[in-house]
Amino acid sequence: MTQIEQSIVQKTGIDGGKMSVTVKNLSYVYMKGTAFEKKALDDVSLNIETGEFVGIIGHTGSGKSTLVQHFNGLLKPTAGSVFINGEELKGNRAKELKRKVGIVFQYPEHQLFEETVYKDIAFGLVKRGESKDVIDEKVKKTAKALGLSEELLEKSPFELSGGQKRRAAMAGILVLQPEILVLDEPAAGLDPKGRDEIFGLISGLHKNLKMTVVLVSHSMEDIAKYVDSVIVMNRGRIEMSGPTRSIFSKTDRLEEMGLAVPQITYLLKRLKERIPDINDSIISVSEARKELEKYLRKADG
Amino acid sequence: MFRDITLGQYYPGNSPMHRADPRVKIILTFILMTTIMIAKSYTAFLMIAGLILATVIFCRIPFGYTVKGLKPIMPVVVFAALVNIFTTEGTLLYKFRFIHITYEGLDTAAKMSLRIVTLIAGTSIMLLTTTPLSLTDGIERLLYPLSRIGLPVHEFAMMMNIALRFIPTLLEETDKVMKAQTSRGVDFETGGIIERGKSFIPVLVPLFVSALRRADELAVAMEARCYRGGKGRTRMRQLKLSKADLQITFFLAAFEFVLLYVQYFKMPV
Repeated sequence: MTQIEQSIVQKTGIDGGKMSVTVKNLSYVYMKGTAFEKKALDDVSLNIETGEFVGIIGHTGSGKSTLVQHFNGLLKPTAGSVFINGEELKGNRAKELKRKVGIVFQYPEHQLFEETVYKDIAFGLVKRGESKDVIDEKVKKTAKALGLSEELLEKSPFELSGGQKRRAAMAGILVLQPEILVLDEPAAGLDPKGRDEIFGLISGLHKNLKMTVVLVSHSMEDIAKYVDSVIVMNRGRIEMSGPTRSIFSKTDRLEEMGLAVPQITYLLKRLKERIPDINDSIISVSEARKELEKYLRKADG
Repeated sequence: MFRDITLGQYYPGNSPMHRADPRVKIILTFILMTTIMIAKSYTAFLMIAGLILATVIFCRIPFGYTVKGLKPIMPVVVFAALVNIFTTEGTLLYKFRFIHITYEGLDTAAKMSLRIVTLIAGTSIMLLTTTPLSLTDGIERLLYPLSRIGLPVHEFAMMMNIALRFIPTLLEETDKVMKAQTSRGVDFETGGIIERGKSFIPVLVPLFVSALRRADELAVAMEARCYRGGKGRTRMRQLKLSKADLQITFFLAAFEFVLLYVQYFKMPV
């Protein structure tokens, strides 16, 4: 556990809980009954287990964002149903169930609006009618866990740097202690350092708090590096799903859908054409390094 | 949430109305508007309504789409009708203390309502069959003579163009921010007026911030492409009159002719 991760565990008290997302025969049609009618989701069914780290990949317009927006009821299914923790997301229980899912949208910093960072992080808690003391405690702990110092809290969110803004906006979601965290391109537009920080944080939440995390991303490298299993969307349908490694072994099918496998996998495949006894089912740089070292040692000895 | 607004939104199609020159459509719409303003008899309104209905069918615009565009102006129609019913003097029909309803009052109210509804429906046909871009193009060309007396016609058209261009973008952005804030617990659907008004602050602030940022970026992008106003600017899409223009002009001319004939020579209803 890194220091940041530890402080999240200790200070925010976010705990993983037992939770899963189940989607049954979900269809969604945008602007039904007009010339612009578009079927965004077509009979989608899936199951996300408690504590899983799932990636969703797909071409632009494949229905990824539409799908995740059903997880907390932002969109209502045209047909089919969504279950959170085994309970259907509708009727009286919906409000309660929605709270268990936190969605961090793409460029979350665009939703910052309060006068100070503190107020912005506290916003969701204020809306829930929490007491002042509880709010103060949670905000400070979450901010600290996300590496936002106390003096930053009193600044205007618009004065922060790009990475700080992103973390402040994420804090606004994490402070609500969701049990399922959905992230849509959380690292888009960040520099490599900011990217590592964000992903370090997310995988910390997953590993140490057993939080269920759903990552929507275009970066095959990030998907390969962090998630356990992958759902591949294409034209509103789930094209395939399964463990990350087995998905990334289907290079041809992914390329047909305008997707790809990680760069390092391509490299290993090319190497295998020349050196047949190299293992090419490799999806990360560190794995590749081990494999190549193994090969070189064998070649030497 | 906001994507369903239709008033003045282009509905794709390939009728002569769609293909016609925006200048012609604007002029014809003005003629129709004038006709509606001076129409006096129920026969005339019936005919105008028939014309609008026929055009909607002819352009293959779904009927529900046009009706939905009329909904937002319904309060105005009701208000205008009520004011007319209760304030017009004339032959008394009903009296209760200070309320009196007259025959003339009901008559003006009905005509006023018909006038507003046909006016909006008539103009929305033009808006539904013309892309915003060609619409401002048409307006710019029609107003061009005014630039002789120093009015910034091009700049005005460009401003309209940009405003129209960004309406869908802003709606999309609003939708996005509303969803994000809903996820944080804002409720836009319940509560009193003040409560609901307050809940829009978390939407309006990010929206203004991004609108200003967009404006800034757009200005830089336009300057980078050497935009410097209307002087000496040529156009890529030249407006030309075509067969479609002749068709719709002839159609409206025939209608006006029949209407005039019926109104002034045949049936003085």
